[in-house]
Amino acid sequence: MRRKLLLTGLLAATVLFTAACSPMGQSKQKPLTGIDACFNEELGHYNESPSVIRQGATQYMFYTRNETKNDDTTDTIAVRKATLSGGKWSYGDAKTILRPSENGWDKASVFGADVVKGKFAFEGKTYSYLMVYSGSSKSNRGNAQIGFAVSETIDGEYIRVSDKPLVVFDKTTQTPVGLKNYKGAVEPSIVSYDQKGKVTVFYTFYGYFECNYAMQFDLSDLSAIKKSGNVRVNTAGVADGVENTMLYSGDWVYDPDEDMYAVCRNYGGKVSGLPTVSEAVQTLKASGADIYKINDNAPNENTMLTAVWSLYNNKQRRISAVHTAMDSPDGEDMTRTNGYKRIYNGCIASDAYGYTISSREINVYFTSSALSGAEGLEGDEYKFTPMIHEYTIGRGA
Amino acid sequence: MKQNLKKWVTRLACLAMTLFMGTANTSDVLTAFATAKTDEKAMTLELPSSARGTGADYLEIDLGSLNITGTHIGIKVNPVTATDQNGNSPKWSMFRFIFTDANGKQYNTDNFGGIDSVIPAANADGSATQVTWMYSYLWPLQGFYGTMYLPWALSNGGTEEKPTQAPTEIVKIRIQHNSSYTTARRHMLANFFTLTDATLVAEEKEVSYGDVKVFEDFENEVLSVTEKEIFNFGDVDLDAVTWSDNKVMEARTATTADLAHLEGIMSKLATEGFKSKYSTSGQIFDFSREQQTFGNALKWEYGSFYDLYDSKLNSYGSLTVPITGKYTDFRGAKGLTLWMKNPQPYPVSFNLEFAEADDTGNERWNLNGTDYRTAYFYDVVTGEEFSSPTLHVLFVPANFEGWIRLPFSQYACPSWSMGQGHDGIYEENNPHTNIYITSQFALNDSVTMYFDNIGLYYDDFNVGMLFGSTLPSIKDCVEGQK
Repeated sequence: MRRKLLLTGLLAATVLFTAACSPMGQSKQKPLTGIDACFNEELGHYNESPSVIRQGATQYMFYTRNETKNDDTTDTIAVRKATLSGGKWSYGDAKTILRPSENGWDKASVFGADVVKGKFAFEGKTYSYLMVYSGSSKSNRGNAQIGFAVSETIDGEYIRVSDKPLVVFDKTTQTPVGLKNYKGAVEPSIVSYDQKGKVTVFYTFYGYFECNYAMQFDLSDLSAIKKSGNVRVNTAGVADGVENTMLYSGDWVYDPDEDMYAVCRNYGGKVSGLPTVSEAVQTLKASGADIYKINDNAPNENTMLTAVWSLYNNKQRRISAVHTAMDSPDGEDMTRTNGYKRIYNGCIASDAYGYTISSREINVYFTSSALSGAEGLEGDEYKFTPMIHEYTIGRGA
Repeated sequence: MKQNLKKWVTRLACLAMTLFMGTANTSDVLTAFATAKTDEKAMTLELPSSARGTGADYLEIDLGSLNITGTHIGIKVNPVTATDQNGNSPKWSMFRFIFTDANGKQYNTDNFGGIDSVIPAANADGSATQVTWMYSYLWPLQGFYGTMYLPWALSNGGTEEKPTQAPTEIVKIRIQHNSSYTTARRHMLANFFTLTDATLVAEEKEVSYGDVKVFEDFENEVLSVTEKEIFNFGDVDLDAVTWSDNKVMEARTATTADLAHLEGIMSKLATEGFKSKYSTSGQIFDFSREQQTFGNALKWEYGSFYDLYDSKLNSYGSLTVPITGKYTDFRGAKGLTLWMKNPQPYPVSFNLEFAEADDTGNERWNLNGTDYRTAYFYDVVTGEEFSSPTLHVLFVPANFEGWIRLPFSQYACPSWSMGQGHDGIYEENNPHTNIYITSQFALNDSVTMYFDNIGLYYDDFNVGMLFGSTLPSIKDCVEGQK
């Protein structure tokens, strides 16, 4: 039996390899080593960093996509509309809704977007949707900053509200030398405060030091934006071998009934081998009253910070390769029992205001990537393998 | 505003002294405002370099009968110079004093358990300073010229709550120098001027901004003291003094040459006198005072790291700011605060540490002994409030000018601290004796930093949020608008 399985596996691998090395004229597909992607796009276009807004039986997935095949210097923000049918989401075609600017601070790359509904007055009109996104003047996304764009409809196109970033990252202020490149301010996540113009933007800061920041904005009148300073988010209790670590690339949703935030973050530190993204994502929850809290322990040597974050479900520490492996893949494709070795930049589906859809479960969407050189991939092809998948986590204790 | 407050405090101190003195003969009173004389009499003690001692070495002087009625005994001294076993010049001199009463009972300067502390002192121009009191010795800085005020109730190991029965009459004084202590001396030269019966006016300067109580504002302070000279060391019959068996020191009535340098000290006191209150260690940096938003601020200047870094020293420079009076009690406070200015277009870093005296040894608290903690900022120029992580030290953003808050919850005892803070920061009723501003030279090559208004804050706060917070902002707290 074991021998039969082995032979079957070898056959499947051969078929997959053959498919990956398909002759000219046929599209090379991304290797599937686990659960299905939400939608399929041929190898050469990466789909990553999703943000999902659900409105009944319709949902919109915003994500980062390279517009030109096999060119990772052509980041755009794309959206796909999906409809629910028979318990499955069916996604339409990709629509590009934001491209890099002609010659601005985000002239080389736009990525990692999130969208919120509200009322945003701009140049004589009131817009209903606001996008927050990372942008960079470098094609490698370095020293990124954060900007806003608005649209009358959820699926755009989106118009920039300023030729300047609203969350500024200035590499020259990071170190006395001022030459080093950093990731900057990335992966913004937006939650409405009043379902109008007040919003909170959470983002990950990679400068001389790294941390999670929140900023509050009043965007009711985009010609007179009011904003708070950076407020460091209390990450006590976030752990993955490092205590009180960060909510790396965290996507935030808010449950107003329980005054609770849920976050999907990249789990763990750096990995060896390419791509150097995380191997898992993790979902956590915290009380809204605690996320800015100044820890008030009577301190002593043995007192750690009081944890304010806990797992969304205690039985689901993370979503990793093992969770994305298929038990009984169609056609006995044993490759798909491996799961995905790189899982990163996830999100939690929310309503249009960034609020949770259900207090019983969350739908997580995350990015997977194949490893460099795996599954017959050549050269930099692994860069163009990222796909987006769905995973549901029930509310734990 | 600060200057006006200073004048008001000074006037209050003068009034208090006038009331206190009543009918006292004003000619007997050396107020803190008296102009120091540099033609006074003194006794010079010298440890010749040819006669390095092997241990405690003292001389004992018969005082006759001196009445002590005040709160302190003033000892006016001028440590001139010293050389240690390695040929270096130590920052401090060190003397132990033992007094004998009419019954032969001795009262010494052994302090409570060898814990870091300071006693009040005044430079010869009356400006307030402090002298370290540690390991049974008083440690005036080399070049100090002024009066050390020994709390009489605290001598011989007493405490404020449990004073020894300090006598009202003393008949002998022993001056002990230890030439084989941890910083053994090869050579020492010091002048001793007078003993005074002194009372320090308990009036403490109050500088506050909203919920901030400032204990260090880097302004000139005049010590509020009334005192009467009761003994002059220049009058000692040196043939009648008693020496220890292992005598190596020599004593003489001070000559004009022995005191000639005092003129120079007096002329420097106007600009450099404030430095005597602080001690430094580790990497070399300059510090001075410069007018900033709130009057004088401490200006810290690091030179070129590549030219000046000394690998034999700690990697950081440190400036010790003593804490005295009621501010040694941190209870009720939520954390430390200070005004700080970083004129560089890039971040600078420092640590604001403090020491707490307890029975297990000095506890040192800083931002280094723990994982990332948070510091809170209010930039008075931009009006922006924000928080950011510490990374073992506090990073101050480019061009920042304003208030910084460091909640006590962000502090921990580093592993090298003698005490380990098992009972927390303010639940033990132990005094907090020093603040240390430390800064890594390697991270702060050729930078200038300004510090002012180091103090305690007392209110819960949040950095200025637009919505969703019920707590006051730092601005609200500092301006008393909460």
